[in-house]
Amino acid sequence: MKKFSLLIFFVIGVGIFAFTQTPEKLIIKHEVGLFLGNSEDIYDSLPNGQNLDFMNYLQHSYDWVDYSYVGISTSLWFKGGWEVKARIAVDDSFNPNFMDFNVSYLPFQTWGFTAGIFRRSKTIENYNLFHLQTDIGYYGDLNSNFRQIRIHDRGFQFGVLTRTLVNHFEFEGEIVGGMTATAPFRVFIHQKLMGGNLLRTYKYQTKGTPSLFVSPTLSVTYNHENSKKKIFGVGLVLKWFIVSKAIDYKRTEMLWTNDNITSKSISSDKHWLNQFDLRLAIHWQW
Amino acid sequence: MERIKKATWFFVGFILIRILFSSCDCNTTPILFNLDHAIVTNIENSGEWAGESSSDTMLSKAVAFKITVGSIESPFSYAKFQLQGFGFASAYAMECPTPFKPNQEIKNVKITNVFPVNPSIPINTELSENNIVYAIGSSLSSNDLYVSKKTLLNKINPGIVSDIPEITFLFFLKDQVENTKAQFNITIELSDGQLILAQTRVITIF
Repeated sequence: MKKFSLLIFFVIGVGIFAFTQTPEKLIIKHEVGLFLGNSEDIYDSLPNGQNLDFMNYLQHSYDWVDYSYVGISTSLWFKGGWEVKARIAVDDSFNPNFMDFNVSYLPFQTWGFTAGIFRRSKTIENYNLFHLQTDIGYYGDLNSNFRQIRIHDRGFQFGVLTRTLVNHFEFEGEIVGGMTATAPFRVFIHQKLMGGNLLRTYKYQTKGTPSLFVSPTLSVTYNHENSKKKIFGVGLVLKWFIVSKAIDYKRTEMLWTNDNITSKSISSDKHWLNQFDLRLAIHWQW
Repeated sequence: MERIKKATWFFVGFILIRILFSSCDCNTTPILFNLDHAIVTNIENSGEWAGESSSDTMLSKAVAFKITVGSIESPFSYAKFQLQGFGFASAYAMECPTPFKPNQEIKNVKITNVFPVNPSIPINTELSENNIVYAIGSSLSSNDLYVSKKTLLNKINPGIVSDIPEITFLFFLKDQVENTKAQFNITIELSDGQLILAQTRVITIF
């Protein structure tokens, strides 16, 4: 949350900086924007094995999209074809959904390179179902609360982009690849033998195993320039994020007491995860 | 007239000061009490949660008891100690907890079985950490595991206990009872060398 707040201040700071600049200076164009979007995850759900597979319990809505979000963005265009863009979005519970920071370099009028870092939040829920279903003879989870945790995928990316202007329309295509890893998290499952005194606790500590990904993006924007050379734009963005990933972990079993422990490293099977984003954005440029 | 006015103001000031003392001051000086007896209560632990039971039957894998070590005097006999201080005793801004402190510490807990538990635990065996686990207090939360005797003895002597002059812990048998009856003797060794003896009721195992 601290990092999230810092990024908010950064985005606002860049926006204020942009307002205070004049076009004759280093920065040749400024942009601030708002966007709202939906995200849908399509992923392999693998059959239960001997070990808990967290990827089987990614939040998935059958009625509506998995995540909805709103966000703000800011961009600066520098002399020499350099661009900087930062975005930050929150979901419908006002929790951080994603944030990213990209630097692009367009040595040519229609194409260039891009690189950046990002963080994206997801939700894992009902992961105690594994224990409730497989640990016969036990109260599978003594915690009766709804099991839900937010996980955070972090990563970096490199790629190429192309941009074309046709009348008032701007078409942009981008393909990036990189590495992402889920920030380590820890969960506990407490169990009791039915008809017996035996208590045991499973402690899961995930490892943040990195995975490679590819992500193409297409966008189309309609720009309207007024008499004062200010541009108002509205655009649609479609993004596809493809990754094959697993959440590996160390599982510690505590039997009867906290000091009676056995630990095991578990490598989970990789899941194909396809994440689709459809985003509507408006922006002002000057 | 002037004298009556002054006397009234003095009286009102005195009452206000007493109210202030009543509202702000909790007695933190502990009331000392003796550990001199123990009460054993049956625990029903066959379900999801452990709870007190008046039944003398237990499942063979769920034998458990609560031990309450305290003073033979009723807690109400200490009530007079709560009414201390300059303020109004019944005028609280909040309910002050009554601090108690035992005169002794519990140094050891020994549990022996009256009936054979199974072939490896014959009659009158002192049950070790392999056979018994404990819980501090009168209940277990959903996040708790049991504790060993060493941990129990480290944490069971808190110095100050609130509201009730007694120390409570639970013990649970790890072994399955392969007998139709079970009963245990409990010996609690105190820091002053005194021993407190207690015995569970005869439990029918099914």
